[in-house]
Amino acid sequence: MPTNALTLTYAAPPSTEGEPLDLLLIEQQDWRLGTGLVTKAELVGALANWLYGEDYQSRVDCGFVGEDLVCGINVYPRVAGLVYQFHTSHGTLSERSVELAEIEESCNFALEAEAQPRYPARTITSAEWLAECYDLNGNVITPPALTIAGGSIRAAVACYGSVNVRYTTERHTYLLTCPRREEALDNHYSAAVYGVYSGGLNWLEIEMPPGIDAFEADPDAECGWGSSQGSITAPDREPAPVEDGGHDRKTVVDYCSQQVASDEVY
Amino acid sequence: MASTLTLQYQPAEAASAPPSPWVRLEQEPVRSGDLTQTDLLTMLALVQAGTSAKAYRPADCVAYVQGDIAHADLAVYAYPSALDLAYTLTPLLVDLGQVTALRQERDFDLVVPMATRVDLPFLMDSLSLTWQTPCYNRFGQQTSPPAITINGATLELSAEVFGVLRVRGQALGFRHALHFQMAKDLGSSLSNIVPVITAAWIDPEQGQQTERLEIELPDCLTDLMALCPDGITERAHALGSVTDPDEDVVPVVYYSTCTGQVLALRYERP
Repeated sequence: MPTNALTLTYAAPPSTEGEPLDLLLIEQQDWRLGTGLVTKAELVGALANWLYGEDYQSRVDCGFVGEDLVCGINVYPRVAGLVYQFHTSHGTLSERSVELAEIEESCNFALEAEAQPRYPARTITSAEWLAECYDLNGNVITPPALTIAGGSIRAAVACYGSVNVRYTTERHTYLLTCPRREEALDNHYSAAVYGVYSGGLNWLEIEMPPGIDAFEADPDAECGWGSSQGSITAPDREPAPVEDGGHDRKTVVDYCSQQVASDEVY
Repeated sequence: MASTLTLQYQPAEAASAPPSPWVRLEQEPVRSGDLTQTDLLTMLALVQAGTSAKAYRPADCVAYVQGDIAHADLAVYAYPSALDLAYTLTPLLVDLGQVTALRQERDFDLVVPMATRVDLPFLMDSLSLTWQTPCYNRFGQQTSPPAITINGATLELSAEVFGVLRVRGQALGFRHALHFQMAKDLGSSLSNIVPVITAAWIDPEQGQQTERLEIELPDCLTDLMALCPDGITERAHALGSVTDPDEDVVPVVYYSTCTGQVLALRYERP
């Protein structure tokens, strides 16, 4: 009896099986409050410099160190001992700094029996209800007992409510330094950071600081003061006659106490 | 008799549905109102020269006053996903003006977020693409960069990857001039006025899609509204005693708070 051959060809199997992993939480540290803004004290200092030649060194923070943009990046591994490489698309990253950070925050139960803290918890040291708990119909119920299971908080029954939780998390910190792309037309400092590990990767696009537009337009811009390009003219379009600043009295007031420190009349 | 049956299994073709059309709106930059160092030095120079700095208006202010009407010349950029895409703009509290073709040099990072297709923010000409990073597949393995096909304003990649592209080219779109005007009277206030532009177009399923953009009014327009209450010339005393406070007379400058023009200079007793 003849033999019939059946040939099955299967093409292009995936190189790795299973779903990709999500093992890194990456976040950018907030720009400091007031970044890019000139305070009143700074303004007075600058005016005194311009009018009277007083010593003045700008302390306006624009997120720059020298000519480079610098920002902090926090990385939280979701599993202890994760081996990963951290890279940036532009600029350089500092060495990894590792700490076990203690976090206190409120966790919400949204008609569920389990809640997760914001960051991957290594150990949860305490969890207690902040206020009353509600069931699906909005009725106040006795707060259910809480148990801690690994990095999660579990309630005995599903409910609405908030829990104050204290826990520790492993935080890796990097400093990202981005020099100006001299050849670029715009977006001179933009960057994305990403962590790569066996089984997946995570990434984050860097948010630029307030006031970056001035530096995009003019690399010689002064932090907080914008570009110094341009000429100074009087309303009649003639060069403004700026006289040498002269004053015959100098009063020094302490900024914090508002007390007069000295008052000299020449 | 021997016979052979050959079955070959291949992955399904990648989804090749055409990308949905879109229109992106972007306001032409207007000065945000922050004073620059040049502004401050100019105002100081004005004061020292005997002219009130109150009359100073940055040269790039797009607002002006004519009679009892305050005006601002603004513009919005519309970037359709295809230059022949029909779209309409509907203005609210602002008038549409002339339309001109737009071609702008742009340069930016584009993150390919583990995908085989990624939209550019605008249709581009003379496009150059440079990988800023190695490419990775979804399992974190480094792979060779995939082939990239440009399909209108969409980049189609031959493999699903993560990577960062540096994109440089000429953005193509349209510039729509806008004109804002407002009658000036004692009750004039800009605080609750937010002009809006809405773009509308039809998608392949014959549904209407819209994109909405709130228009930012320049801060110098606010200054004009405050300083020019009735659109006529005012007298304002100068602050010109900074350098010599014991002088018997001080210069008093007469100027138009609306145009900044110096009308006269006289020395008067304070």
